[in-house]
Amino acid sequence: MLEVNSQPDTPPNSDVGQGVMLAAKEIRKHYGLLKALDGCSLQVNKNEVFGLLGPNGAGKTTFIRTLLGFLRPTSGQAWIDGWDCFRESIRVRRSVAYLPAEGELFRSLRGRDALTFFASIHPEGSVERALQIAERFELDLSRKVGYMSTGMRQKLALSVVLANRTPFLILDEPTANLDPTTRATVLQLVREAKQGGRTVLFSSHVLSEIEEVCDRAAIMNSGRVVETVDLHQLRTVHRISGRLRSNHPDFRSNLPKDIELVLQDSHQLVMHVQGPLENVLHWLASQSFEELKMEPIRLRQVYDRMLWDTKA
Amino acid sequence: MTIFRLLLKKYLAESWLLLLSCSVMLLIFPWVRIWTISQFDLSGFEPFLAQLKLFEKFSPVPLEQFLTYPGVVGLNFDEPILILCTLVWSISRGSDLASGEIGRGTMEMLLAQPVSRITVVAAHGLVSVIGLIMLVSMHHLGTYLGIETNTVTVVQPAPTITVPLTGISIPIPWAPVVTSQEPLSNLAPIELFLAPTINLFSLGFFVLGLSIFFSSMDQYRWRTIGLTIGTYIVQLVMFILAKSTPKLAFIKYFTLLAAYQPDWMIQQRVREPSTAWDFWLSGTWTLSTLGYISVLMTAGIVLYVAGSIIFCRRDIPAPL
Repeated sequence: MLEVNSQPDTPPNSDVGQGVMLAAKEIRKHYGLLKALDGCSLQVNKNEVFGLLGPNGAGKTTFIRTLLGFLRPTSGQAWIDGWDCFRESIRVRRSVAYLPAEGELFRSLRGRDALTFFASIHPEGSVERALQIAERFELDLSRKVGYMSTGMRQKLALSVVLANRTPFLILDEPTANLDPTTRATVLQLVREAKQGGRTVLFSSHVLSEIEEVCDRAAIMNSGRVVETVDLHQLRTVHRISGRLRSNHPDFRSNLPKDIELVLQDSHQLVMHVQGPLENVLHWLASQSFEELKMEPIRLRQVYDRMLWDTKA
Repeated sequence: MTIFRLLLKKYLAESWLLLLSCSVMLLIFPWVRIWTISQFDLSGFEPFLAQLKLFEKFSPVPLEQFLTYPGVVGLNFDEPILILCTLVWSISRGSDLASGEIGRGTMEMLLAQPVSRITVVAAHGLVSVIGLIMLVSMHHLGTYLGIETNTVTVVQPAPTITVPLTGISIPIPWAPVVTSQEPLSNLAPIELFLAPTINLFSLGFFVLGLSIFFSSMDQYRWRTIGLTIGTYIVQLVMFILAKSTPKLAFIKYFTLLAAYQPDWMIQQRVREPSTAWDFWLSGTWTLSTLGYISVLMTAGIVLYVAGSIIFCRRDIPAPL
């Protein structure tokens, strides 16, 4: 009676792409005039850790909750692991382990009972794995959930979610309320999930965490994805800013091909360099710079620029 | 273990304490009350009831019924404790379905699992209804124990003398009063209270449906409880107004509480046992026992189904 495993196990929407875990096309969620999602499109490949960034109210949580059937979209289509998010929501949730940003576990249960309940209710759950993860978090499972601190409850919820052997993990603010040591453990568990062949969607405000664990990241603003960043590529990009001794009218034509000129006024220059710096360093040495500063590009700069551009 | 069974276990774990305490209350209360009744001679209440004659219109049955053991035992069904326990269970469980879980933030984790909303509704509903059946059964058991374990003092009819040739019997006024102890079960058999018990269940089921209906579209449990109690009170006031004057009698068609008639059902069972379970009163379009029960059950089912549909289709807001 009322079983959830009644659907066939072959995704009917395999046309989305073999290597794609999540494909969302033009998802809109409107509340009257308010556009919580305004044509949000995103693709997450299998076995990648994908970051989701954005200011408060950008639509990150709404996007995730729409994918998982908590909210009905105004329009749009989405597939997870080949399953239609809006027509086969239960099958989708069999493929997903989701940690909500503000989710609570049943307060009347003891920690161990909560782990057992959620491990039993999910087809991919395992009490043993949940207990192992809880042990890594040094969690006291004999305590009732209602008597746990916010951080302890977060650890418990993480143990529930990370223990599920689903192909797709969605973590919404997983490190909120956690101390630095536990944060590091969470990031390590995310890395292990990737090593185990799983895909992770990691929504966070903490840019350093995204940089640390993610392969790619999307920046959302005003209900849309405004930029997708390849973080491996980003790590090879450097920003060079400098002040010339004198005005250099032919400067632009002299630039090596690896350098992208971002800003130039009479004496000030800002450039982005992708790839090895050897050639660029030679070229820089031949110029008459008064001051020169070289630094790797950080996600922070991309993030700020995208939000600034969106506002403009 | 199936998801459904797991959910049943969860809902039972959340509600067993309330169920246990209400059950104990509903088992002991009618038992103790019937014992109290058995200590009094009912004829002693006659002058008291005579003073209440003015308010008889508010009673579903003639006040004289309350000088009989079936009538006075049946007053159990009007006791505030009984109504309170039933409503507390129905409102607390019903309001928990959606707005309670959403407010606590637990709905988010629950629906993140591969669980359909209709499964949640069904498991929740089953536990709530079984709990309600248990509560009214406990009340019935308490009534049964009260009836079976108590005896009452019955004044035997005075001896008579028969006037020769006329055949007229005249009580002997100077004869000593003879009393005897009689089991209460002989005067108020438990069968009389089966229909009122089912009627009580139907009342609880209606309030459960009402509470689920409000809960299904809300995210604040306090508001769900407020709306349910508010609706109940409005229905109660309408019921009282309908009784107060013939001009307002039509209001009774707009209040479902008019279908909670335990005293009338007892009277009907005593007077006309053969038709006591009819849907209509014979030869009329006035509801009878089964009719009253059906009205409340139908209202409960309609509200439950409507609430389920709303819950299955609505957006679940993020935890507060």
